[in-house]
Amino acid sequence: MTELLERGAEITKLARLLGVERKELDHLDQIPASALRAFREQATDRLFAGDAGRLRRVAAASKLVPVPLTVKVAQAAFGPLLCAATAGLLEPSHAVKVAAKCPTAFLADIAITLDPRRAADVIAAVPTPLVVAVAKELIARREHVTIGRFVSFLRPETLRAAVPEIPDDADLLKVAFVMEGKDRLDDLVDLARDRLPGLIRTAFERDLWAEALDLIGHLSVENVAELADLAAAQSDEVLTSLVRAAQDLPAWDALLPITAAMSGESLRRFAAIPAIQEPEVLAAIVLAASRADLWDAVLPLAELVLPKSEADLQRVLDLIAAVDRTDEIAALVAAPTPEPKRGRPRGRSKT
Amino acid sequence: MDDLAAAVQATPPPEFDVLAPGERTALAELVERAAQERSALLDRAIDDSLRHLPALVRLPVKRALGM
Repeated sequence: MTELLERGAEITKLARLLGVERKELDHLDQIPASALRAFREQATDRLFAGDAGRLRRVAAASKLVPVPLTVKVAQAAFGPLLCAATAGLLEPSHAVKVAAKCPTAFLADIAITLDPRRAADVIAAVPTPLVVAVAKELIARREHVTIGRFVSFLRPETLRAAVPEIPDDADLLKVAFVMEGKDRLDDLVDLARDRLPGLIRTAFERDLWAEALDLIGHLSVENVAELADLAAAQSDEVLTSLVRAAQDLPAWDALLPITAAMSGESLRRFAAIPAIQEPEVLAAIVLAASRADLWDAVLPLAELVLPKSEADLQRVLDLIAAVDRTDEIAALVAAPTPEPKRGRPRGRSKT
Repeated sequence: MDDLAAAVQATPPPEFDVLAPGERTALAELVERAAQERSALLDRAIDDSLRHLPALVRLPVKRALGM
């Protein structure tokens, strides 16, 4: 599931780069996210490198012009696209002087087309208040993709100041979903720890389970465990919605490691949701465990939700047989069922 | 080198081999079009920027731009 979501995010970013509608690239959804990312970087290099010589000369020429005049020319003649292409070629101190004189809206326009990899030194040199002002503008424009591209390039103190400027938990989930360098999602969670219950509630209320599951799937073992127990403490309505989302997306490969991280009490609470007892759901869980090798994660849950009747069990077997996976269910039924306990999710260790 | 490799001036990831020839060509055309639009925009921007500069600084800037 995470892979499918990442593909979607990558296609969105590629469409933005090429200036086309997302639907024009729908046929790329058969390509893995890692390959899409590599191709997007190749295309980015092509677009930025094609005029590299001329852009370098523009950057050099800008130093001959007083800053106020540079700001005027930047807005009147160059526009945000070319300013973005030139930004990474400026000396960071000069770039910051120019940026400080530009309207926030124009800087936001530049950020939308800027390749942060090519302007990392400049981004790091921009004062925190200016970054926060631009972040607020980008949030107002719902530019989650742009913010997501920048997060990894911000200094920790700047990120700390910027996160509160994303007050809507739905915006935070959307930024996290498209964020590049998702190994820093734990940092983001650390800065928004008091908002974790709100993130889960928002995923339910705004139908953002895909974004929430993707976020959790990239976190450390410790953060997964905390979020797993927070999720299990939600109402039956929220948990049923989560089960339905895992079934419909499909996303059991993302959700099973989370259930494995639940405490025994939380897991029993989750397993008691009627929706999870449905044969179609149980079959999907077994198939996801088989495909993603998540048997360790599924066994504690399986002990609590195995079909209650022969008829239900037969229905599960039939559903699995329909995709020729009877060997997997046989392995599951034959496997020992350990006592429910806090499992070992497949997330990264934080240490 | 096919259209797509020529467009990005590199070898695309092998996973892109699953695309039909027509899909590869269409994607290559999108990359080419974006590159050409960016280059044309740069041409216009350089011309426009010179018009905004006082005569005193226009000459050194034109030299720096290699014009």
